[in-house]
Formats: sequence, C-alpha cells, structure tokens
Amino acid sequence: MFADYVLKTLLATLPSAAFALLFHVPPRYLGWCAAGGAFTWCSRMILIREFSLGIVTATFLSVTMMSLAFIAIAPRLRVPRPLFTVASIIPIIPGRNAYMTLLSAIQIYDGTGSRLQEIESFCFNGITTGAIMLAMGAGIALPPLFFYRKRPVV
Amino acid sequence: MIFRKTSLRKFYEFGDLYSEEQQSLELFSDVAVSLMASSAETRLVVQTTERIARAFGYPDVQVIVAAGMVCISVKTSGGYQSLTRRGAPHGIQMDVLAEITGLCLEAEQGQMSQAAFQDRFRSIRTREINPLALCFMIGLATMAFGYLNDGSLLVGASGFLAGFVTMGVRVLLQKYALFPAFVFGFLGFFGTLISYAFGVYIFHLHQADLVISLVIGVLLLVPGFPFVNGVLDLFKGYYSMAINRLLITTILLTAVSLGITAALYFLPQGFWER
Repeated sequence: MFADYVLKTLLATLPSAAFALLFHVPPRYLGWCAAGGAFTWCSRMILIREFSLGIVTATFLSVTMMSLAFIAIAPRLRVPRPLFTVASIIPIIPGRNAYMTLLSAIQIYDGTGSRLQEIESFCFNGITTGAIMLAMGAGIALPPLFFYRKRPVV
Repeated sequence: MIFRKTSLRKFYEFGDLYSEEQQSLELFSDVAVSLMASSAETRLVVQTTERIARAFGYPDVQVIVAAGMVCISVKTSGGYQSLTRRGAPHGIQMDVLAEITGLCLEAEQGQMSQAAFQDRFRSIRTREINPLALCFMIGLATMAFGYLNDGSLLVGASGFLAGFVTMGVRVLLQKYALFPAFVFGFLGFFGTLISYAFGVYIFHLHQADLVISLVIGVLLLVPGFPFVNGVLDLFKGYYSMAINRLLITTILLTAVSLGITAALYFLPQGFWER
C-alpha cells in the first residue's frame, strides 16, 4: 500500500512537469509544478482511501490545499500563481470518465448495446466528469478570493 | 489609435509632453496586450498594467478587458487619454507572464526608469522549446497517466509511444498556424487511431488495458488553461471574459470529441465493451 502511494505520487510529477514545459513555464519553476502535481494527487488519494471521501469532495479539498500552498509560495518566488496551479491539476483530470461518457453517447446513438445501461453510464460519467472539473476550478479559484480582497496578487 | 479631444494650439503648446504621455500609454497598452496574449487571467492583466502605470507616475489609470480587446484610460496633463487595442490569447507563454510580473515589481520598487523598463519589456521573447524534448516529456507524462489510471506496464509503454507521436504531430501542425479547433479535432482522431494501433498490433493489450491506452493517448489535448482561466474570471467577476474562455474550452473539447468519435468508426465495432 505504502509503495503504491509513493510510486503513484512520484509518477504524478511527470504530467505536471511535462505540461508546465508545454505552457512555457521557466525551467527554474518546473520543480515546483512537479511538486504541486504530486501533492495534489497524493492528497486526493489519501482523502479517498483513508478518509473514504467521494472523488468530487476529495478533488475539491486537495486542489484547495494545493491552491493555499501556492498562495504562500508564489509571492516569495515573485511570480503569479497560475504558473504552478494549472500544471498541478493536470494529473487529476478525469480523462477516463470523460472518455466513457463519449463511448456511451456513441453506443446510445448506434443502439449496439443495452440502451438503458448506456444511458445510465452516460449520465453517471458525464455528471462525474463535470463535477470533478468544477471542483478543480473552484478549488483553484476560491481560496485566493479570501486572501486577495484588497492587495495585489503577487 | 488615440482618442483625445484637444485643440491644435494646445497640441503644439504641449507637443513634447503629449508625445511622452502618448508613448507611456502605448507602452502600458503593449504590456496589457502581451499579458493577454500570454494567456494571463483577466485580473492579472488589469492589476499588473495598472500597477506599472502607477509606478511611472500615472495614478489615475483604468484598464478594461473584454473579449478580444483591451482599453486603457490614463489621466494626463491634458485630460483623459484612452487607447483601445485588440488583445487575444496567443498560445500559453508563462515565461512572458513571469518576466512582465518581475518587471512590474522592480518598477514599483523604483529600481528602474521608464526607458529601462521599455527596453527590457521590448526584449522579452518566449523561450523556444526543443520539440524532441517536449515530445519526450509528453510521452513520459502519457506513460505516467497510464499507471495512474490503473493500467499495466504495457499500457504505459503504449501510452509513451502514442503520446510521443501525437505530440510530434501537434508540434508539426502548429508550425502551419492552423486554427486550433481543427488541430485539436485532427489530433483527437489521430491520437485515438495511433493509440489503438500501438495497443493492438505492437503491445497486444487486452480489452480493459486498450481502453485505458485510448484514454491516455488523447489526454494531452485537454484545454486546461482556458478552462482554469475561465473559472478564475467567473469567480472574480469578469463575466464576459469568463464566457469567452469557457466557450473556447467547449469548442476545443467538442473538436476533440468529434475527432475521437470519427476515429472510433474506423475501429472494430464495440471493442470497448465492458
């Protein structure tokens, strides 16, 4: 179990660092992006497995914690937070649910499988995808609103 | 274009001053346009531009950002001057954003003159990334996605190749400056087919792993930045920009979905059945 935590946390650094590179983040900050991705993935995994939270709640809480961490870190590095926060959420993008939604939609249209089952799968995966995406967006956007009411963001 | 109500006499009288103020206004508008082009969130564009203007002696400044345009209004010796420029996101350039923010902080601390600021601002260029290194990194990211989505090692290997090749095609397409919806749609199509080909013909993946392989093959097409910026704008009250950015996200996601759907019609029917 512990090895799985460590391995997955280490692997979560790769998508964050790669996408940070794609976003032209300066090389000296790539490590922070990778750490952000690892933190987000690891905290979500812990919240789901150890605290038995649902995936949407866990996603919101983990992204909020990551956002709070970068509210503290980014001003010290004298750069805006989106440099880190966007790359940090990449590992938890609900790609599988989104793909299943699409596959279900195709099957509903084609009428190849059990239509009722596919409609259920379409609704479940679609709602899950939308809710996770919203949780990710809200998790990044909400914490700064409490900290930067008057003063500038950097 | 500068909109300013002034008589010809007044223009000659304050000729030098007018020119200096005009240059300042153009500089601030360039900063705002650069920030917009580098995909900064709206609040950052507004705040950074206003702070730079204040640092150089223009305390009364207003920056208005709407979909596709930036308008700056500054109170000068001859009254308010406004400048409206076209400003739209032009790729994601976080290095430019970081440089401009650094310049803003230095200007606020009085560490540089406006001329020095202008010189340094004009010399900012986005960093060129080695395409091979980028494809390799995206390949590694796709491989990691495979394992994070409970795939086997073979899924990771298949994902690495699919991610590497798909990113290579993306870099190639971007050189031709094609419109983004087409690029994303085509890559959704290509990424699905290439993931399937690698998964079935090279790594002989079984059904569950093959689906994961297809999922991770197109994850590099997720428009994360416009989505997050859209949500940030929404929460911070820039509704027109939020709608604009979220609409861009929707268009790109729809394009990718159409590409994937088209590709699935070329593959054996129902291979993904659970």
